[in-house]
Parts: sequence; C-alpha cells; structure tokens
Amino acid sequence: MTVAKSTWRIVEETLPIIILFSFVELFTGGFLSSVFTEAQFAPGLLILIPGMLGLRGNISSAFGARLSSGLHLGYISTKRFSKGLKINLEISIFLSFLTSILLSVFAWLVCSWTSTSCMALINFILISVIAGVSSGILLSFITAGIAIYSYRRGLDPDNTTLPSGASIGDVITIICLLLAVKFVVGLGL
Amino acid sequence: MTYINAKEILKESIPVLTICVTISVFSGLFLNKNTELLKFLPGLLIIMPSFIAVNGNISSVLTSRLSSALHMGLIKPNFRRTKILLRNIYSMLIVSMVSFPVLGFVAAAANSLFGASKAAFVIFPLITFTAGMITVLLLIFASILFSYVTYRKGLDPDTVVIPLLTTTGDLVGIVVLLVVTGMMI
Repeated sequence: MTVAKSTWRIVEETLPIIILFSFVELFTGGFLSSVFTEAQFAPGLLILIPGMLGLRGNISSAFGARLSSGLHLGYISTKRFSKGLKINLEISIFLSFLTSILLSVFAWLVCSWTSTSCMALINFILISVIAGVSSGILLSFITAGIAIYSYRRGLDPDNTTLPSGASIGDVITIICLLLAVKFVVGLGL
Repeated sequence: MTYINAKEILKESIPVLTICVTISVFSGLFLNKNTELLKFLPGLLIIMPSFIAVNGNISSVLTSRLSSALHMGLIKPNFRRTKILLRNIYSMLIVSMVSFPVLGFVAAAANSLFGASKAAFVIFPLITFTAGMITVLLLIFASILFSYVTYRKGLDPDTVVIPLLTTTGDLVGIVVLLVVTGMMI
C-alpha cells in the first residue's frame, strides 16, 4: 500500500524532486535581487512579493489539480478546446485579477501604517494587477499545456503539473513583476 | 457536475485566497522592514525563494500524505505515535537535513560567480540548515495538528490545510531565515 511506505521509500521519492525544484527557484532568487534594486524607486514594493509568489502558486496548483481531475474524468478533452478547460482558464485568470487587487490594497494599507515612504495606491494596484494577470495568463496556458501533454503521453498530470507549475510559476511571476515595476515607475505617476 | 461549476469553485477559493493574501502581506512587511540586512548580505535574497519553496514542498507533501492516510483509515486523528505517522515525520526530517545544506552550498556556488567571498560556502549552508530545521519542525507540528483538526471537523485537509500552511510557512520561513541570519552575522 503506497501510503504505508517505509521511511526510506518516502525519502527516495521526495528528495530528488524537492532538491531539483529548489535549484530552479535560485533563478527566482536571482531576479528577486533585481526587484530589490528596483524597490528603491518603488517604496513598499517588497510587501507585494511574498503575496504575488504565494497566490500564483495557490491559484495555479488548484487549476492544475482541477485540470488533472477533469482529464481523468473525461470532461476535459486532449483534442479540442473543451468547455471545461475554457471555464477553468477563465476562473484562474479572474482569480488572479481579483486577488491582485486585494493584495495591492492590503499592501498599501499596511505600508501606510508602518512606513513613512510608500508609493501611491494607484502604483501598488497597477504593479500588482499587471504582474498578477500577465503571469496568471501565461502560467495558466503553460499549466494547461503540461497537463494535456502529460495525459496524452500516459502520465498522471497530478504528478507533473503541480511541482513544475509551482517552480515555473515563481520564475514567471518574478519576471512579470520586474517588468511591471519598470513600466509603472517609467510612467512616473 | 460540481467540478465545472464556476460559482462553486469561486465560492470555495475566494475565502481561502483572501486569508492567504492577508497572511502574505505580513511576510512582505517583514521583508520590507529588514532591507538593511538584505542590503548587507545580498545572497540572502537569492536563497529566499528556494528556501521557502523547500519548506512549502515539505509541508505540502506531508499534509497530502497525512490526508490520504486519514481518508484511507491508516491513521486515526488522535495523537498516538503510530508507525505510519512516525515514518512520515522521520522521512520529512531526513529530506530537510539533506536539502537545506545542499541548497545553501549551491546558493554559495551561484553567488561566487558574482564575486562573493569563500566564507559563503560555510555561512550559507549553516544559515539554511539552522533556519530550515527550525521552520520544518514548526511546520511538521502544524501540519499534523491542522490535518487532524480539519479531518475531525469533516473537512478535507487537502483543500483547506495545504494552501493555508504553505502561506503560513512563507511567513515563518522568512522570519526565521532573517532572524537566524541576523544572529549569525
């Protein structure tokens, strides 16, 4: 029974994947250093970062898990753009938009309470929404691609989309965040 | 079919995501308050996403495994030290003991490309190992406690505990990492 494995079996199966994805995340760290440099032009920006990365992970892993179930149950097809896939894509993008707005407003509130230098609310909202929605759209299509490709190849999309989506998601999110900050700071609002 | 009912999915996700947003803002606040330390040791920023990802992976794997074991009736939601529970705890501890120093070492190697000192090869693994073990112990405890409590209440730990625990793990991870680094330097 798979759940009652020995200690070493569990270690053998989880250790390589956990180490591999921690290396992938070092790229996120590299980009995070650039974001940090950029933060001097956008005071309060750092407050957004854990939320942006965390939400992207939460939304895309739930999306990946639902796609996997959908493929297994057959209401999402691997051959055409099915209705189940369309609805799930829409939900994932809508949630990215909604949570980005929530996050930026909370971050601005907390920043105004605790810190003397904060960028304007509109900058928080623009950075969060542009980065959140663009990375949300990109990652949703990548996750859908990985899920459908794995299913066609006879792999369980539950095992492939969740870990790969989480680490690719962080790298994509931090790049989108960096571009969004450069754009919004460039606007000079 | 409930699984493509958009309203149902939104109704379940929005409250959890809102709690996650709130918790994550506090992680961000802590990051924002420690810019001096981060400027002093820039390599810390390169480690941070990997560090919190390892924490997140370990706690989600454990919660997911506990959840399956609870659903299958292999463990009961009482705090008796059964073999299966202990195996799950030990395996996650072993995984942590290996992955955190490896992460610190590789991060030091990545940093040395950008001209960081050789001391990083000792300091980074030491920081990631110490901070990692503290965080993982807290998360293992939280994972067991929350999985049991939610399961007893008739909820599915897979959907409730994992997102909340990964977000809380980010907060705990960032705080412990910065505090441990601050103490070591």
